[in-house]
Amino acid sequence: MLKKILLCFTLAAMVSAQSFGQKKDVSQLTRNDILSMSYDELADMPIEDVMQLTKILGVSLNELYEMLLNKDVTSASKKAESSFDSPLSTTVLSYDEIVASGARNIQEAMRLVPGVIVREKTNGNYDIHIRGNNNIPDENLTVYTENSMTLVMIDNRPIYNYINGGTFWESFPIDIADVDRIEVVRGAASALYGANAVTGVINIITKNPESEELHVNGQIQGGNLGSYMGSLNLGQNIGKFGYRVSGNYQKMKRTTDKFYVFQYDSLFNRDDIQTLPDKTSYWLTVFNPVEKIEDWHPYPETAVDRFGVNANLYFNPADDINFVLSGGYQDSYINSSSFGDPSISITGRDIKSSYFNVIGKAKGLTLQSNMLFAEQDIVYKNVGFKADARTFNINAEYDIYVGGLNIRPGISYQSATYDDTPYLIADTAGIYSSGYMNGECSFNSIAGSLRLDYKMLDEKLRFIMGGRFEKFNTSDDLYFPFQMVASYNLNDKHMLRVVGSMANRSPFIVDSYSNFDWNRQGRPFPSHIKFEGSKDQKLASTKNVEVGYRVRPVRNVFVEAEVFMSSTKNFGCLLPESSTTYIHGADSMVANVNLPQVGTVYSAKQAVPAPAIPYQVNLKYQNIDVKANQYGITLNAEWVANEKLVFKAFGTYQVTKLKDHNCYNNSQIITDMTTLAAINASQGKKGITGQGTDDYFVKPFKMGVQQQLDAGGMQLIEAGVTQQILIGQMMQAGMSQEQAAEQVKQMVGSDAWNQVATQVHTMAENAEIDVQGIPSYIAEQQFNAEEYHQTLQQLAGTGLVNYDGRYENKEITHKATPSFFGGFSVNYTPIEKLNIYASGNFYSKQTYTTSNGIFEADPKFILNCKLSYKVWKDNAVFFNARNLLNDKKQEFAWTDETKGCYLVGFDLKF
Amino acid sequence: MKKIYLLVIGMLFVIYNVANAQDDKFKALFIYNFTKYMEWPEAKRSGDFKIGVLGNSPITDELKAFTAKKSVGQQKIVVEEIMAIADCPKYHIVFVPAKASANVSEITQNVANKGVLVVTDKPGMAAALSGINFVKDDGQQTFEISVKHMHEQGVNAGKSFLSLGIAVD
Repeated sequence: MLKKILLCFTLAAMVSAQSFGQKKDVSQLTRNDILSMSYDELADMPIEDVMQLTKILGVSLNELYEMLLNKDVTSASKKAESSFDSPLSTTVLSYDEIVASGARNIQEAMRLVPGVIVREKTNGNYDIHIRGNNNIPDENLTVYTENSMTLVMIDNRPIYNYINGGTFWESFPIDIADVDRIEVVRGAASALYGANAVTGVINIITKNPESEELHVNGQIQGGNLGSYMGSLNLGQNIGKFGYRVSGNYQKMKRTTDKFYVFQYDSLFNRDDIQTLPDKTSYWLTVFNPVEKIEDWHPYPETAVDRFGVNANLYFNPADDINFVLSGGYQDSYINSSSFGDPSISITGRDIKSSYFNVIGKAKGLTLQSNMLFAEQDIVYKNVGFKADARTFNINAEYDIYVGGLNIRPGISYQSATYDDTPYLIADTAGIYSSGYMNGECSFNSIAGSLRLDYKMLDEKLRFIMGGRFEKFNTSDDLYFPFQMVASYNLNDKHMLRVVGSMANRSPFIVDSYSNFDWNRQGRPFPSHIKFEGSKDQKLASTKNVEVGYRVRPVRNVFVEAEVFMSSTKNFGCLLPESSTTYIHGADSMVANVNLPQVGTVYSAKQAVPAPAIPYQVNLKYQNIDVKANQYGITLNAEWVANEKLVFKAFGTYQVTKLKDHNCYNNSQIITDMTTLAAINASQGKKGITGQGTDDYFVKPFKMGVQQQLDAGGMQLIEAGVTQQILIGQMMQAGMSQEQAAEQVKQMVGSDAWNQVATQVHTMAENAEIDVQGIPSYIAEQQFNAEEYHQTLQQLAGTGLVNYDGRYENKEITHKATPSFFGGFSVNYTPIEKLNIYASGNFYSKQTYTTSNGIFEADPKFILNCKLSYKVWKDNAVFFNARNLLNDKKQEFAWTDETKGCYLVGFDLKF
Repeated sequence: MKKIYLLVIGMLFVIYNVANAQDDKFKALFIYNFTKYMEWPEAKRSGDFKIGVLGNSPITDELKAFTAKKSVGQQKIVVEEIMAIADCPKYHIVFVPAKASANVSEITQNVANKGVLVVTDKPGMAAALSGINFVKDDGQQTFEISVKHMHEQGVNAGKSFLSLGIAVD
């Protein structure tokens, strides 16, 4: 027994001794192992092991530097390369950084990207531009302040609004949980991606399942401003197959439930707007009485209400052969800046859409095709703005490698079809006339492209030439966007590149197919505005030159400078082409309301501000002379101080000059057209086409008075007339007027009063509205800027017009794009479980100029912060503050004040 | 606007301090390890083993953490902040942080043949003045060694140690 005990003791002692003497293999330690070692453990190590530790830390830190400062990007060359080597101005935003930043949606995440201007319109809805060039033309519709120059894609599938250009960001079926990374290319890129990549490309790359283990990620959060949102993504590979499904939901309230009324420069409750008097024509109301504002705005408090679901199937039969089939559905409603021209600044937008996307890659061949079906009500419940949309894209590219030369030929076809007739009522002849297009409209394009990418001198020197021929069915012109790049990568620390490129926009439905007769019954003149598209106009295009320099002076610092110059021309807009004007001689019109047996009981007088009133104006889409010449510089610096701290700062300074700028103010042009028509008519020169009739002028005035009577005026008249009749009867009986008036006051509601009131009511039903001072001629006038310029100049001395040279081409400084904008971020992980991400954005003053006037947006600094604490593995609870300082300054013209949004939530990842 | 300036200044302060924390820890660990490989003159083999850090530096606290309860032979290790350059000769190791590098020339004159190892933290210092100088090589924390300067300071290092660092002479 004793022997056994001794044996056990000896064995135990030997094992202990062995364990004690066992030297730790430091080469097997990970970075986290080392960082978690105590001072005593470290102090007891021989210096050789300490050096090994610093080597491990150095290597892992270098890997960290590469991961953070030199991410892979595919959008700049359509193949994977490091962002340091990217031939174009490129930024890659990773999923981890987006989540860490606390961005509530993909739009807000764009605030982390250099060269991008992001302005909040209503809570969670943003206007996003690359480098600017917004609000061109100025003085025209608000819609021209929206960005139509940047191509936004999800996995190379264009998410573009071909109605009038731009992106309906809220209609994305995906959300942050789907995102693997967002790649942003600044500068013209139509040679790579086709039309609309004028100022750049935003390509959102979604996740691919990476292993056979189930991967789940997403987040839920909720906070003030009625904010609650969630997104979830899960997927895995199963053999050669894989799947990924996702869903998202987002609801946020506006910071107010009131609406800004342009005419009053003030906010009003929804229900008060319906009866708000029109300041220019007192017998009208600001809001069209034919419409009901509660129909337009059933959810005045809503900013965003959206959801989306997606499913993806993957098939990877071989390393160089893979297929992805994706599909999804989304439904969104937002209140944001209006695409129309209403009397209030915010309107609703309701979009439902589904999509299919298939990507196949085999050897060097890439084939992609996708379809989108949508129901879009872009000015909610405003007749004429709802349509079904259908877009289709197919493209194929093939990579050939010959030595250092990569040759990539490609072909593509694209079509976009919009049809508003399902939402219109045809007349008895089956003709639609109340819509914006009144039919099915489509454009398509076919394109061929070729890209040559040559690397030499051990791949340090690189030349790229790319071109694309594109033909649109709406025009006979052939477009040739191109791109030429030379880059030199010196010792992996310095990279210099020069880019010359040209890009163009596509035709839009509004530009080509507008066919909208806006009956402005009950509105100020003109009574009709006809919107007409034009297919033969040139497409907006830009020429862009860039010089870029990237440097990594040490491995943990990345600095980039990009100097850019661009010249953009062939802008277009809906401008007056001709007007039909009612010429008259009287200073005012008077509408008398006459009651039988009583006579005139009410008179409405309309002063005539001009010798002519436009009855009908035709607006036609036209190219305009203005050219936007922009130059600027973007600086971007990133510093990975250590594994706990990453710092980024970026800023852009730019100047945009508008050359050959003219007057694009439709109201001004219409006023000048009517003035000139009156002058020409009075001089017997031209344009008189007939005598005036009631139809053109008197009926609308009568109708306005009638509406005023219907709205309560007649009740007042009836009461007044009843009172007068009773007073008259008493005076005939011998009372003084004062006595009679006093007596009648007491009689209201008595049998005698009601008896007379009934008689008066019967008379009022037969009231006639008699208009005096009827205008006399109808004149037609074409718009010609040169002619107006000369005529107004001649008339300046007569005092008939206030000539200010407005039709003279001028060069002006464009103030809508802030001259300075940028941001910074600090990502700090003091302990493994805790992460603090602070980010800020700023922009200098910007001036919006639209047909609604001038809006000055003051400089602003927006601070955001997210604190997250990991409770289990990578799953974290968080507090998220957007606009932490609660700066209420409006960021976009006439839209909502912004407010701080504070949320708590949970990030999910396993 | 003042709030924003204060915020930015605060952030930069945090960044500056956090960025160097990990490096400081390993520099302190190296300095502690130097005590194992150096040979000091007879006159300095009694009393406390003194490590001095010139001026206010976070490395002082790191050194104290590593050397608490540690000794060199029979000499207890003491870490102190050096308040005046004239005090340098009483130390066994003097560390001069990068921000105080302008004083290295004066320090080396003061400690000549006094048995004081001068450790610096600025590129080029070992070649010019110090015995050991911290550098980064491809992201890895390491050090340069000048045998010549160590001799001038009255300190000798074993051959095995010389093979660990980057010789500059």
